[in-house]
Amino acid sequence: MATVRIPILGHAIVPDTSGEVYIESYDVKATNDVWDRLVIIFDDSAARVGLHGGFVVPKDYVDSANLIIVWTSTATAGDVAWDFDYRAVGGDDTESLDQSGTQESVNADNTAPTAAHRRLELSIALTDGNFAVDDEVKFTLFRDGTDGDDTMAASAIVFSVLLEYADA
Amino acid sequence: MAVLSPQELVEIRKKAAARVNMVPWNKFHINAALQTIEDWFSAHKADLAADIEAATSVLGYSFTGPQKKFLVAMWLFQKAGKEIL
Repeated sequence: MATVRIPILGHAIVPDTSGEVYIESYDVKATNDVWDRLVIIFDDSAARVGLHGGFVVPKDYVDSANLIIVWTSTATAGDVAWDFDYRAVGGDDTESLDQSGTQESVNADNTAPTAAHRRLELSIALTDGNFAVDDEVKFTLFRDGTDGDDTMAASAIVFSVLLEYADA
Repeated sequence: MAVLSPQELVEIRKKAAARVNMVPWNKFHINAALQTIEDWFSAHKADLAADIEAATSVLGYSFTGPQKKFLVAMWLFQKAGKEIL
């Protein structure tokens, strides 16, 4: 049994309609423009703003599910309040992919880097039993600007969102 | 006491963060500073308008309210904005 991480930001991602979550070229906020790439921006907002997406639970999934958010910022003070809502849908012609309820909502605060653009990694535990092999998982990753704990006065720059788990 | 709305605060915070390479303050810090600026200008803008009026009316010209606001903005840009923006 080993610990595995898979990226879950793929073709399925779409920002909500707030206009405060969007895909941007990293060189807009970075100062060293050598290593450019696309990143997901979560603005400093007074609202709870999010990025929708989905992934399939891998064939070798067993347990120990964690969400990993790899992010940074130009800010060096304050916290970001991250929320992750999801629903796993399984079966073959048994369960609807068009449900409104959330299976689980998890959250955690993470402090801004001590120097601008340093890599941060936040791990949030998910409920192992909510996932089964081949489930279609629908999720929204939020930055919750309505949460008093969200005190960072700049955009959060997300590089990766990963599902971590123990394999068979 | 004059206050900025939450949305005004968000808009200013975003503009400020976009213009610096590092943001060493958090929301509480910058909000308090911005509210102080808002309150100070609100408390003194009538006096400033009256002083401008007194200085120019003797010369035979009276600036309108929007013109005075424009001149204040130009003054701020000259004194501080060029090096910041």
